[in-house]
Amino acid sequence: MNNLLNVRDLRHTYVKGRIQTHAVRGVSFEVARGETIALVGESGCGKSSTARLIAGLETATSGSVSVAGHDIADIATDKRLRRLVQMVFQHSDQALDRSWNVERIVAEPLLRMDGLRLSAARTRTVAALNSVGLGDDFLSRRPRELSGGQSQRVAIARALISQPELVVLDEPTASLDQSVRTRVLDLLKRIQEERNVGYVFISHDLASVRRIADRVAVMYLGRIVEIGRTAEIFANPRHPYTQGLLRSEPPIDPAVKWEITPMKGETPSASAIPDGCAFRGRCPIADEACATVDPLLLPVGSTRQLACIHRSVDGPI
Amino acid sequence: MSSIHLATRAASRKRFRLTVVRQNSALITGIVLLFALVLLGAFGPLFLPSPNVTAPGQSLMAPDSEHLFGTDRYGRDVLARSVAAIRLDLMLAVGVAIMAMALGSILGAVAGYIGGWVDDVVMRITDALLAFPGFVLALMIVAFLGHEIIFVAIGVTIGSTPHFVRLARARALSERELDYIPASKLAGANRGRVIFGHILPNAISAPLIQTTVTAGWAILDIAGLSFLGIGIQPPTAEWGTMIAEGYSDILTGKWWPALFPGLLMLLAVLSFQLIGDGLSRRNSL
Amino acid sequence: MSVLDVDRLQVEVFETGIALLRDITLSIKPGSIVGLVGESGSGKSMFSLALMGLLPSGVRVTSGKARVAGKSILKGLTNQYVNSSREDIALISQNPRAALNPTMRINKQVIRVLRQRCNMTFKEARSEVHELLARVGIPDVGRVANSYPHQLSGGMCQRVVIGMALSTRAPLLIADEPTTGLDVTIQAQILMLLRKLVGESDEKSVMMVTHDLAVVSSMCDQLIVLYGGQVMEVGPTREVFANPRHPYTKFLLESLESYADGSADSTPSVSENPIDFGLSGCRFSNRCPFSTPVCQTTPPPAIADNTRIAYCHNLESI
Repeated sequence: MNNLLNVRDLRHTYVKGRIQTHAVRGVSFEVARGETIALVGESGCGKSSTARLIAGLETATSGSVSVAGHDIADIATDKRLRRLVQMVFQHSDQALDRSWNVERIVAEPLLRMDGLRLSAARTRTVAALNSVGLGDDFLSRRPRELSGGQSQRVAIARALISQPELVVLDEPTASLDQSVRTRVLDLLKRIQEERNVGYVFISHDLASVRRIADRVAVMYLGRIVEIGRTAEIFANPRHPYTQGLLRSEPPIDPAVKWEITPMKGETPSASAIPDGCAFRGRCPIADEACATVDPLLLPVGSTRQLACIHRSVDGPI
Repeated sequence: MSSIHLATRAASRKRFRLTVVRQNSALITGIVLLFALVLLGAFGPLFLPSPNVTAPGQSLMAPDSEHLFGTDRYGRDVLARSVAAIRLDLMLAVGVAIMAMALGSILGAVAGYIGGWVDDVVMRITDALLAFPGFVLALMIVAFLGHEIIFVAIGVTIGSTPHFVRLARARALSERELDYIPASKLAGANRGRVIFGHILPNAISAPLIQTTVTAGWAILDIAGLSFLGIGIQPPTAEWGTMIAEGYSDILTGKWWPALFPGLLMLLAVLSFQLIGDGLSRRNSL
Repeated sequence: MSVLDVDRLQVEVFETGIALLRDITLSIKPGSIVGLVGESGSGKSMFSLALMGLLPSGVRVTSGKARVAGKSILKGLTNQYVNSSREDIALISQNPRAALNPTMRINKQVIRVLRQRCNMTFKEARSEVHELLARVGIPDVGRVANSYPHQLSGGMCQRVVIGMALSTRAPLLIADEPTTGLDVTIQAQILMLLRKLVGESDEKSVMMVTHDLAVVSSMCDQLIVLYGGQVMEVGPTREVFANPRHPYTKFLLESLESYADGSADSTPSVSENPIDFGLSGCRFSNRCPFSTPVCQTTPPPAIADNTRIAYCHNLESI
């Protein structure tokens, strides 16, 4: 158990009236120190729910999450352990309290966890701001005076000031302009090299995943369907869903004629998941067997796992 | 769009003053009016006769150069009494509005953020209170508690609180969904910190604006209670009691003891309404 | 004749005189797909709103001309929108659910559009509904036609909106971030569909308003780059991508490429300053690494070169 993060058979079901939404249906993976794992998938695949469960913002229906040997339930309730896991949110403009100034926002974890006063936290606040490329002239600014990239930097500074060991990044670049994304990702990468933190990177944007992640877990309807090293997955996707997903990204070179057969259909609702393989309705290689067998995530080779009865067993990687 | 907003804001700061005047004559008028009333209430009594000195020989004298607003049936100077009432009425009304705002906003923010049974209890009580007009509610409370000034204040405060609860709760419900709330939980903030440090400061703008309007209504409620004889009691100089004492004289053509306190009250209510209106318009810009 | 001709269009916040769009000049040829690209705050959405006559209150067109298929769509002293442009422009919006009437079944809405825009009788329109829905690749036509918008997914709603937009005779189609809220597999479906349907007609043109350069590169023949309410560069997509002239376009493409291939960002000298709408000169000058004093004070001239135009003071020296 040397892993920083261990997620074991995590399940989460939201109940609203008579409707049960199975957001997460048995997710297991681990993250080492200094490693980035990306959870990729389309809306409704359960990646954001998984992120909130890992950060301890919600309690799972079943399964376990442990960070550095501590159960997430303890981390969420114990002030001394709270610092272990922090999170950066998708909407940078909503993630900062608009009635606070940058200094208080960034220092909030120190005020709450360590009981420091704002003035006593000043040195560390400035250091945290500097580490994300902002000067101390930002201390007195209000969130509305920041650009999208700047607010996300402030959010990152807040997440890092308590020296966390795991940071959950929930689509940290989705609300940013293209030209700012690269910089924020590079910043995250640099910080990881300096501090050896582990990242759980949630995204639907494949380009940013390729840029930052060491490993990728592709999710569909609350399950991981394929997990492996980033380079391998991008070079040779095995699961039909992963293949369809990668093909759907438009190329950025206008000289390349983009001509594909798009993946058919749409993701079914998480409250009415089909029997057998959940993907079979959209899968180009589905047959009768897929309707009866719920595929398990099985190892294929030494670094990859796959959940497809047709691709897991036969063929080389 | 946020950067448009940002830039627009930055560039418009230069024109801020001009814009405020042009767009917000209501706000400016209200502020000037209220300021004039406050000055009059603070320094007027220094230059006027005592409001409670009776002069039996000079009862119900029409306005003239000596008594600008005339005298009432006890020979008291109507101007001196009307001006003396400014202090009591304004202070009481503003105090009531602030108390109602504080109480209502806190209850609303707590109910909206915590939800569940807390929300149910607070909102059912609020709904029940809202079923009565604020004035009727205040009337019942004062009738029940007694005729002291403090009870009048409590009665009107409780009558004005439900609106604030609704306003603050509505905002708290939408603030609760924003990402800075989980972010501050991750920073180790407990429920109290989240409510008082984050939810309340962001939910307070609408209640703050409502406060000025409420102060206007509170003046009317206080005067109304006193007019009915269950609020502030004579001989204290208060607009409601003065109108109550003077209105029967109108029938005999002696209009001044009731009219002038009524006019001052009108101006006070108007100034609060104008400020409230101007502020809410600016807030929505 | 161009489908859309815009000449020095200026859109200002009435109260403060801040120009949200400055001197926009562009034209769109029939049968082409043109990408209007910009980051947030570039004014790309404001521009399509101006053409549709849907500017928010307090924002006005103060000068300039805009013609669709030769007909002016701005008229009179106030340059307010006149009704005729509704006939000439069809909109595919970012939020297809909001574009549909939530209280009406799909077939009723489609019939309504067909009757109003195509002068069909009720019977003709009703028999046309299923064909129209099938044309935009809706699999279960009967069910979709009988559904309310909230019962359909975002992708399905967008197909319906595209079907309605294409059924009208409007020569200009504005697609404002048509796939932004959609998943990538659905985005691929919608883009493929849009390209196929526009390819079938050689009179209709599409103006794709988007922040996504990848979408533009795979869809558009022409490219218009906006920043801070000002046109930066105009040209054929291939040429602009291969050889951007304007510093902003360069910066944008470099960040896109380095993003995609994982290399380091090679343009660190471009700052993250927010757009300053108070600048009298080039709106990009507070971020531009090549900025000179004249950039701050004077709007950049249009420097044309064959098929391409760039708005910059310093093209020679870069």
